[in-house]
Amino acid sequence: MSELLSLMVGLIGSLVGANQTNGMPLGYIVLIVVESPVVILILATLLGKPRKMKVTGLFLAWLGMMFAVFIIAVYALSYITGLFY
Amino acid sequence: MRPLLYTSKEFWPFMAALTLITVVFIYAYMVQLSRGLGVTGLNDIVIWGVYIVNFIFFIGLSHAGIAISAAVRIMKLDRYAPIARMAEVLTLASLMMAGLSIVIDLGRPDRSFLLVTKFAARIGSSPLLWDITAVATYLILSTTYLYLPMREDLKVVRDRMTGWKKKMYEITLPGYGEDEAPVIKRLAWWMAVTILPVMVMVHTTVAWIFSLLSNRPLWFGAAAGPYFIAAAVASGLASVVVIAAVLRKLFHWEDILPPEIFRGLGNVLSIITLTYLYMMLVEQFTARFAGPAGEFFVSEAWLFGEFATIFWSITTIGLALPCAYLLIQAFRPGKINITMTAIVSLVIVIAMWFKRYIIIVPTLTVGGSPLLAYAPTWVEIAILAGSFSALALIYTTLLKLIPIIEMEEPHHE
Amino acid sequence: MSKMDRRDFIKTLMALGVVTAVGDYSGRRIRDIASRAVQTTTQAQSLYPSAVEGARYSMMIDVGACIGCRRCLHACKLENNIPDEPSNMHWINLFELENKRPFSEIHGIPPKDASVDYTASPREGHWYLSFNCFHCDNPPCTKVCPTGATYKDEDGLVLVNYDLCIGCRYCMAACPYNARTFNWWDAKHPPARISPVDGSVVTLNPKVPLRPRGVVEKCTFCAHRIRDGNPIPRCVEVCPVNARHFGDLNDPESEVSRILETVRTHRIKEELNTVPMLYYFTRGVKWKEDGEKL
Repeated sequence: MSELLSLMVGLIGSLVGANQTNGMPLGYIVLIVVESPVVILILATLLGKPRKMKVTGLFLAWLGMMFAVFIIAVYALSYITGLFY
Repeated sequence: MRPLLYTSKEFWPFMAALTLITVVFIYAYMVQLSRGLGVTGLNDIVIWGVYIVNFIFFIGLSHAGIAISAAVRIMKLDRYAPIARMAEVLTLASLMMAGLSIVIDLGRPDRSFLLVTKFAARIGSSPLLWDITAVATYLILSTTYLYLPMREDLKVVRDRMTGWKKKMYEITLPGYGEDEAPVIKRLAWWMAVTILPVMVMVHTTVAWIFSLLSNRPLWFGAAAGPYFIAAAVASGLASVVVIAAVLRKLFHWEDILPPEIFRGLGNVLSIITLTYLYMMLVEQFTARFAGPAGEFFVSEAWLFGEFATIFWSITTIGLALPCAYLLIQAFRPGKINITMTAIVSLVIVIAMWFKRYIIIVPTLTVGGSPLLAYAPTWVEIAILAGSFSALALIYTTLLKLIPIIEMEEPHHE
Repeated sequence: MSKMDRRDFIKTLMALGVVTAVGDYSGRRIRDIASRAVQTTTQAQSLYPSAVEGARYSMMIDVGACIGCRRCLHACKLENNIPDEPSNMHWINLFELENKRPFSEIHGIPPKDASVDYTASPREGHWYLSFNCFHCDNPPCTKVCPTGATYKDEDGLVLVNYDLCIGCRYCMAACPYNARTFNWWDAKHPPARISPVDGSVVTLNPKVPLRPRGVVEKCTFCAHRIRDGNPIPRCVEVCPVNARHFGDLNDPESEVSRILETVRTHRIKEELNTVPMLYYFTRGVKWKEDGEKL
């Protein structure tokens, strides 16, 4: 009886929350928590009303461009500081 | 729109001075790049110092933008609309300086690209990467949030300009349509709502860099998230007050930025500062009542030891006095002294920088090993000063390029 | 074709030319950077010999026997090409503590009254604590590394890949034992070791790679020795009083396994759940009068 109970608790535990002892890295939880508002934002942009193709396209393009700028900035900084090594 | 059209004669010496300090900053960093991090006062025990304090501080400053913008858009506090964009530009500039501060702290910044290539492998495990994720997301969303509602104002600017300036603003408005305003308004509302949780996670992940290390007294702990966020909102709001007061004086915006704005900001600032003082009290009690050796000794160092002067200056002159002033001002009806409010806010900002210093260094010396002490060198001071001058440069440049105050109607200046 | 069209045509051609040139150049630069990144990762494999399968290495130090001579510290420096200039780095740390200070009272390493500057040892009424990286089984340092430069290998060694380290020093913040050290400067090698032929450095031990400035380093349990046929690290080899012991805990016949069975051992800051692989014990006896090794 008590084994059954602890098994149940374990199952519910792994469903409710994943953590280090279960094996799922904590970082994935952080990723989900941080990026889910972005997902919601993109969904709201695509599905809400009033919407215009042009604005949606502009919004997504700007997001993509900013992301690219960020990555390029990291590589640019690596390159520039690399001149000293 | 005045800054875009007119340039006062004080502008150029001001920019020249900022550029000079920034040049010294670049030179100091070049010295560090060629000789190594040994040019700082850091050592094997005090591994983090001024650069990390800068990093936390600038991320703290960046919290003002969305806090004010969200208040305006979600809670319809239109009174604060004029300062919303000022705050957002501060967010942008300070996030850039935060990223730069971290790169400056790296021993091998030429390998920063590894943070991108190894991201997928290490994101599960390293709090530093969680922080970079949150900050990058926040930065990207904030720039979008700054740009999209600004299109309407950029159109007005474009219509007012002539020649090459007109062309410049034309480029910033791809695909502008007269009817996009309601769509953008809806998008902006959604952005405000979604950036808020990202903002909370940004400073939580910054706090986690320190608070997940069980071996560090007064770093490790569950309350670090709210603690850091309160500090961030306080320093961010205080900086916005200072900037708004300065710009108000410079451009004679007395009617656009009425005293009520400053009273309101001062009220919120007083509550946040009070909350922060409360958290400091709770933290000290936890460390002192029957605290483990590490916590107790670090607390001793803060309160009565080698860091006591800094700590008590921060707590009394830096936070308690400004808080008291703002609280009294909140309850006293009538005219408020904007200059005093701005000065008091500036004191809070400076105090917050030193508070971050107190968080970082004593835990490493007293709480880690008493063998080695820390004293910043000229390189770190130059980079500290240069970070602020670079921030001011970026801000002033943007001030000259984009309308810093939202325009109500298209025909209103 | 009218004049305007021709001018536009030429302008477009020139623009295209510029874009192509810029694109070609930047494409090649990006390829260089990317290939250097790939090189960096594959180079990593050659820093250390490959792990010994099924091993779980551990070190045990007899604090009762240790006389604080620092021979281990200096032998380690020579074995691992650790520079003396401009800052005197060392992977092993030695502290002198008063006898009446119990072992367990170390909350921060070292405690405030520990001395690192002692010049003569062993001193009456004092004992000596030596530590280096504990190669923990649940290392907090490997978790926090943002690039995966520091990692725990299959045989239990916690190692640093000097080509991946970006020098953020987060692992140093995470280590409860202050066991890691950072290259704050470029190593300045004594003139005797600079080759007159091409100015390169002739290392004392060619098996251990030289580290550039800006990376973290620490004790490797002499991975280049123990994975390559030599059974013990250099510090264990040179200890004059046989205070250091090393072996594979998965081997029940090894010295360390037998010590675990017979002597009461102690580990530092176990409550932090790091599961260190460096144990301390004491047989309580120092160097005997007649010079006989214990």
